[in-house]
Amino acid sequence: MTRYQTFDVFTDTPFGGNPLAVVPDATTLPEDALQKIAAEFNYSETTFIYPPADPAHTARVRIFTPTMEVPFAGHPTIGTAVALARMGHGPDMVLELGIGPIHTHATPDAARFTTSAPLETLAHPTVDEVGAALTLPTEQIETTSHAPVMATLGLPFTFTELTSRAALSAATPDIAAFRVGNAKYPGALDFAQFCYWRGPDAIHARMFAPLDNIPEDPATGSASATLGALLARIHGTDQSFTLWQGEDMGRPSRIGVATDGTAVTISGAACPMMQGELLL
Amino acid sequence: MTRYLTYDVFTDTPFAGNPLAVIPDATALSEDALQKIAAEFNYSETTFVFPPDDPTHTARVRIFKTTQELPFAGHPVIGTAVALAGMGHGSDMVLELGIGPVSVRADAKSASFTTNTPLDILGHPTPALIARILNLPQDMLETSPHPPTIASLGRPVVLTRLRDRAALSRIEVNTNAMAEGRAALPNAMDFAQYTWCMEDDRTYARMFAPLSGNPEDAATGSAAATLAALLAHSTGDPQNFTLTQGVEMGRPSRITLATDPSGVTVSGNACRIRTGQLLL
Repeated sequence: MTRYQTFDVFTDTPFGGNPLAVVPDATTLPEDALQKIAAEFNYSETTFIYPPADPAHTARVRIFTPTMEVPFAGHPTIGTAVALARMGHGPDMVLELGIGPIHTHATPDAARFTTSAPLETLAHPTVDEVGAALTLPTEQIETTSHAPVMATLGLPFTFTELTSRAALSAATPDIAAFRVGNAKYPGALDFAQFCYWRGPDAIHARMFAPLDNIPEDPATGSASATLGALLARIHGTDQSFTLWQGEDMGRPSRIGVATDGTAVTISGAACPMMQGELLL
Repeated sequence: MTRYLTYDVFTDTPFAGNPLAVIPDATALSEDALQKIAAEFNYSETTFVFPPDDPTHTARVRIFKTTQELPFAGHPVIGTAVALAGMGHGSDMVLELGIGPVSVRADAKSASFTTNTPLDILGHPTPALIARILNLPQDMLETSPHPPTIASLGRPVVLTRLRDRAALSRIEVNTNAMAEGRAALPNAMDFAQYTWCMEDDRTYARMFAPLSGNPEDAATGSAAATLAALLAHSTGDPQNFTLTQGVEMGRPSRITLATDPSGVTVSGNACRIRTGQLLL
């Protein structure tokens, strides 16, 4: 019997946000079970918690998508930190992730972490390529602040500003165009597209990675962090905003983004949804 | 607290087959919670068990995809019947589904049901269109014992025989071409593609329904039953075979089919994976 919990992350409301499964004690699981369990949960990520390698840290955490292990991701870090807070840890914690130790602050309802990974811009896909991937006319792509840009703090996404909320709602991934983009820009997370519109009070965004079996993601912490770093660099000033994602797929998410120089802090709530046992 | 179970259906091996979530007592749930819970599980279907309307029946069962309720589907009937057998029902049961009462035989590991719905042949899309949808050269499509056919035992699918397993594994679905097909032949619903082949006297299949949110399905009982009925109709001979689906997505499943003049019997195993509670 292996216990697990699930959370909706980047929301305080059940059935919103991005679901996450957490196995709070993975020490007895065989290595080859981890990927299978993550595929069985069929969420964008599942995390497995182990005792820390350094006793001064809180826990070691491994993150799996349905198809592979990833060294870091935003919503699993928020959700796992909230799970650890509910187990009595924190509020200040150090999680040992694939990318190294990460400082997090968590309560039973919400968490935040700061990444200081350097911002890298990898490529500039054309408005035609991005328009084809999103099935949008190129005049709905806003290029005043920046043209579409593939950038990363560890996980690469193509960032594209759109001219209106209606354009954001109309975006529809075209798998054939994603295949073309992925062939031209290989090694960039399957040409994952993060498009956004700057509203008066918040940034509204959607993320599509159909070649990675994610037709649409309701909340993407790592891409939100990268957008914060990108806008801070473009505008030459620190950024602080709330990013709304998942609205168009019926899973509203709220992601807090704040930059301080080259550091980016991501914050969000998490809502417990299920608890149970794997019968293995 | 609402209890649930999950099963891998059409397999006797954990982490294979088609996952299903079952809520064994849904009486306390509000109507609008059902669709949200099915979306939260993120499996192709989730079932909700209620007391039967007719006391001589076993249970009333409602089936939800992540986006809508269905009157009938194969793997949810097999998995729910195995769950009911595990609760002490059976081995002969009558389940009240959206299409009406269905007789099922089940034990704690396997189940079978017979569908008496007559086969409906709704159209014949051109091989050129299907080749474009599957992104295959047209000479990989067979036209015997049937050309590409829209057929239904309640849920229309486009059935196409391919040359061999190499062709089956090469499929890369073009959703835009699929949407064109749906527009031209609207009686095929979401233009779901059920492709199959024979190799070494064994039958293999893959199922794609991206236009209704299911990029690929690991085991599709209703489409397998429709194939058996179409083969019986095309060849004039009763059919009795076991079909393998889901291999390419790493979730092999086995569906056993038998036709007689009155209908198609679908049988398969189910393997319990998780138990737990929804924290609502």
